[in-house]
Amino acid sequence: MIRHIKRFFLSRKTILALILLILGAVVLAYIFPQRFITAPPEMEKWQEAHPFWIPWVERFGLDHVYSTPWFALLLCLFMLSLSISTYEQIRITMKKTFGIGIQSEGKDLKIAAPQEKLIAAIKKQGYLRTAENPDLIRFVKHPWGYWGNVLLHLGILVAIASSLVIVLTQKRGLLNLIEGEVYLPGSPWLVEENGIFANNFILPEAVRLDSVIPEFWETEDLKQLTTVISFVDTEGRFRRYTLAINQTVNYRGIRAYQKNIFGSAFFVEVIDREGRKNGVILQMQSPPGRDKASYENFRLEGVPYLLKAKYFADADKKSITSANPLLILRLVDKERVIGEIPLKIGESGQLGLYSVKLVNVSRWAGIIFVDITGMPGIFLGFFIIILGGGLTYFMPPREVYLRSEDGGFYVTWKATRFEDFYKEEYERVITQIQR
Amino acid sequence: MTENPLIIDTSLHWTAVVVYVLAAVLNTYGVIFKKDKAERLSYFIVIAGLIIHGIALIYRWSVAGHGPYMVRYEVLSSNAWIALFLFLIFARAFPKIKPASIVMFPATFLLIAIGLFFNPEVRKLPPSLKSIWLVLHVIFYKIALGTILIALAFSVFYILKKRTGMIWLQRLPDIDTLDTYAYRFAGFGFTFWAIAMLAGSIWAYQSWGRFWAWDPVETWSLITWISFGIYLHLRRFFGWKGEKAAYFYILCFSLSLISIFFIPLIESSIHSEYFR
Repeated sequence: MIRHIKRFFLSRKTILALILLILGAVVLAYIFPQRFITAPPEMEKWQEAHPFWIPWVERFGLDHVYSTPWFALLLCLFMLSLSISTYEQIRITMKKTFGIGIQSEGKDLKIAAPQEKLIAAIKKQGYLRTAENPDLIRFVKHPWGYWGNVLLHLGILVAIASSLVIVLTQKRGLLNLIEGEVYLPGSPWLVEENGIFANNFILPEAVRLDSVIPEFWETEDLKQLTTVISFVDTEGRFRRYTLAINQTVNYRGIRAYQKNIFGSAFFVEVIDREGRKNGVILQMQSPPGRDKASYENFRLEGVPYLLKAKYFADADKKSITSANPLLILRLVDKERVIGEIPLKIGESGQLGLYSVKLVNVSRWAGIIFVDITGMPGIFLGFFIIILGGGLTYFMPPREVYLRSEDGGFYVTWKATRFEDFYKEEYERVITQIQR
Repeated sequence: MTENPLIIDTSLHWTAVVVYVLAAVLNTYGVIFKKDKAERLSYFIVIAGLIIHGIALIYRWSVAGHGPYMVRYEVLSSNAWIALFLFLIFARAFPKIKPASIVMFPATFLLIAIGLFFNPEVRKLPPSLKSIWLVLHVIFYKIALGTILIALAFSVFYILKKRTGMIWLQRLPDIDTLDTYAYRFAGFGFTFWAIAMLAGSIWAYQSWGRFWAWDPVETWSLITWISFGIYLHLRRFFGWKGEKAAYFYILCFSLSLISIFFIPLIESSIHSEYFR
């Protein structure tokens, strides 16, 4: 039974079928929009345009292919096949490295010389004596080169296994925090992404965003984005850390990343005709330049119109890091503009039927929190593949067989790869022997 | 004398193109009409072009403050340089592949010329791209591209030699050697492509805490890699060789072109953000 299963997973057809199925799954995930990378409005639009596919999408999880049980099963089967194949290769390679092997085709030359002299000459060319029997001695230069292919497969196996562990157990949460804002553990995330076997992502402690510091190149492209965050424990103690893009923070098993999105949060006071006061926060992304605006649309509670906002980093359009931004609000009823007003900090005015005031502006930034197990496996897989590739292509084993026959010796040479490239080495071996 | 770095940069590139064109003409003449002297001379000229081209890339690197991996112009130019450099190294180690120069030399100047038609303006490096893993990611993709280009040349030569009676093709190695070289270089490409993808995933993890985001470029890169894997599997275990394998390889190569050059242009992705 076990032999049958092993044969099934080692079958070239099984392996090809599994590779093709994985390829098919990846193509499917490319064709059907995936929830974790598609904005909800775009997702709805796609569903409206393709009603025929909705039952299929729902039945097979085609909108989240990579977190479906069938994709995980496919990866597991492929890994199993790769594991058995790697094991088989290890077995074969052990024989190749330490066994006498079968003297296969190669360059055969009869030489009349004492055995000791021949052995010394072959060894002088860097060949190691790896095995022998009464009639045959086998020498190999770079016998570790046999392991290149095993390592290539092992590296791919380790990388895929680690990816699977990550996909199944990872927890990720995104927050867009405003300076001074505190996020409490267990509160909803802006975006949360968990593996099939992962529970809800709950931070060990509360997090507060203390400050956001963007830096720009002279071209106004972003040079660096730095934030200062504090973890706050239940007794109110603060632990302050600095985050930046490519500069992460590790805290109690959780890693925090600086996302490259940031901007201004406008605190606007809205008063309707009945005198009801409502405070809203309009979070907008930083504009691409000092004279370019950033745009965003908002739906406010109790307001039946669309609020279109436009913002310049500097009211005078002279600096991208100004503390005097300009917010322009426009109230729209379908296509009709009801009101429009430009606001600087502290200014107020009438926006259609509403009285509005820009009370304050603070910076906000996106921060990612991650709880991942398995990443070292990806690194390990990387180095194993490099090692395997290096051994395969740069250290192909070269074999010399010394066979005693009819009172003399036959020397056979062969390279396991790139034989043409090592022809000169064979000639050197022969010259050394004949000397 | 001009102080505009862009003018100096593009002038150096155009000079390299002219030198490469000269080398390609001489090389084609030498290979087709069996003029050894012309062929030998073409190698000296192409090395001169490679030096000028290298100077252009280093100059741009010093002006931009980052390697050639931000805008399409510099990406194509550096791809061309690495492909030609690898070809010259391999041609020295395996002289039988030398006739592939008839494809490699023109491919080099065409890649630069295409790049010159894109906006060559220098872009500053965004913070997320400041990582040694990104450099490794890009370098290994370039090496992979160079090796799969050489494998493509052998696959095409195989088909031409089998299907046509062109005299100059007789200068190429025999048909079985062409087939074996195509297989070996495809194996190189597969390995380097894997290393490039893994380096990219480590970089992504370092920058965003996500080792794989399934963005369109990543997805297509994986599709290409799996396709090369299928090609190697078919050759190794199903005994595919010859014309059938050569056509399948051309299909895989087309996929690699789609993932490296076309997807960043038509899809929104972290890779395309700075390529446009």
